[in-house]
Amino acid sequence: MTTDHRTDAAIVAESLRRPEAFAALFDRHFDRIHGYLSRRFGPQAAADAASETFLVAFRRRGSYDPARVDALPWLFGIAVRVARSQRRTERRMLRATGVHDAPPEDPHATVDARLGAGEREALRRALAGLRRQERDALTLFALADLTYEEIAVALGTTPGTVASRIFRARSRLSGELAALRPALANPKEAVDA
Amino acid sequence: MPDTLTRGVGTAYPPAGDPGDAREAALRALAREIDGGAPRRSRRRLALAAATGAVAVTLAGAGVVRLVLPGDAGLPRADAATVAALETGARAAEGAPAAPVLGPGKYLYTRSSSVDQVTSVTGGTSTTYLVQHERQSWFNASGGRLVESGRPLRFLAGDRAFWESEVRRLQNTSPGTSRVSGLPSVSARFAEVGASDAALAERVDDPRGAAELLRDAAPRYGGAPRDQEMFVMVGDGLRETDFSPGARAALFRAAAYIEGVRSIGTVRDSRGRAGIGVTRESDGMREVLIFDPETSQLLEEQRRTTGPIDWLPGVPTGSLVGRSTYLVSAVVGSETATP
Repeated sequence: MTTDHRTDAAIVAESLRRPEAFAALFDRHFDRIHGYLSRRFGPQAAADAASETFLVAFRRRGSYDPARVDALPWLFGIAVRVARSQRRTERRMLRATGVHDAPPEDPHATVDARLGAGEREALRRALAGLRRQERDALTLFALADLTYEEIAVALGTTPGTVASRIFRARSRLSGELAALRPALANPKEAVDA
Repeated sequence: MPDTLTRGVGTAYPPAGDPGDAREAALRALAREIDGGAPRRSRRRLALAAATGAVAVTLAGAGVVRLVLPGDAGLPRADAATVAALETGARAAEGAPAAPVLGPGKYLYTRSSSVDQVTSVTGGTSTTYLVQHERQSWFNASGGRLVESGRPLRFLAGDRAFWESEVRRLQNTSPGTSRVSGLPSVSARFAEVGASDAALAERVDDPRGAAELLRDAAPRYGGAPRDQEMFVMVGDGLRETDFSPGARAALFRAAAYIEGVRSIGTVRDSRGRAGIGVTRESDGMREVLIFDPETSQLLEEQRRTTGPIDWLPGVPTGSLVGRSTYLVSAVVGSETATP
């Protein structure tokens, strides 16, 4: 087996001459994009949105900034925009009681175990009530593991604005949770992250 | 690092779903976009631009990231670039006009030109020469006829007499020409081993199923290792045959499930025609199939060494030791007619 050592930027550049080369980018990043979308919007919407993300990316590859070696933030940005029509689905999922309990193998199980059912419920309600831009930034941070800089690229803004949106989101969540779990209600932590 | 609360956000959402089927569907959609996203003239220009002096780039730059999807049942799928390249061929095949029903008075005529490096060892002395063949074939459902003529392109002093005597001995006819009649057609041979046109066409949207069909048929088709034989079947099925568009498309898609198959992108054949190359290496030899992305027709096959080969002693690694270039394909009215 050969490992592909090309940068994402090199693959995108090559795809301008040789369109089928773009499929290598799909190979690298589809699972992460799909994983993020499936968590936010469920499997059916994620399948459609992830597919559309790569179609849009392929069509827009001519405007890709070759200085950006890693295309993942760019792809996440497209994914977030493609999935905007699914916001209602996400809010419905978050407000549905008890249907999204994490299974035992979930990597967040330790944290989850520390959140009681009432807290998780409150957290979901709070997430459903966030502004779209805040929820986009927060989920790219918490679900997609992007840095503030990468989120800024994805959302077409600055790292400072990202920090501000996540801070505001955390403040809202903390407010909802404060009564249930004072120890979790410390919005300053997110800014330091 | 995310703090406790931010990590807790993750628990409010369900775990990530399995991308399996979504990945397959998305890849097919992307391949269709790649295939049809640009106007034909633009695509041709792109292909020509890419092919100009870029063969080395496409060869070296063709990355392989092997993915084994859940439910692949032991059939590893090629990387996405290869799937996309083969999907281009499949789409072109599906869009091609149906092959005419061949029978009495209707033959598929194909003319090709080949160059092969041949080494013979006689009495402890090895002799190597290049032979150029011109091949014409006429096939219909009940069989066909081949005419091959050849001449040595390059040989050592004294080799011509040896070569001509070999040709006489092997072909028992005038030097350099072989005429063989009563051959079974490739599609009939496929049907014999359980991979008929209908069986392949039924699996046009089930690439794994089509690959399984080839996998089952391969040991009956020939004696090479199974995956190599599957690749041979794909090559055989795309040249000099009257397979339906569906069967041809199924062959392209099935190739993505043959171990070791990968795309080398856009390349030019020896006549300067741009096509998409897919390749597989086996036993010191890399075989390349180059097909026309707009018609799915096979343009050229190439054979290049990637290591020592018993039957080509002394040939350096990387040597082009054979190629077959497909020049003309048409339906004609008799077993001797030419377009």
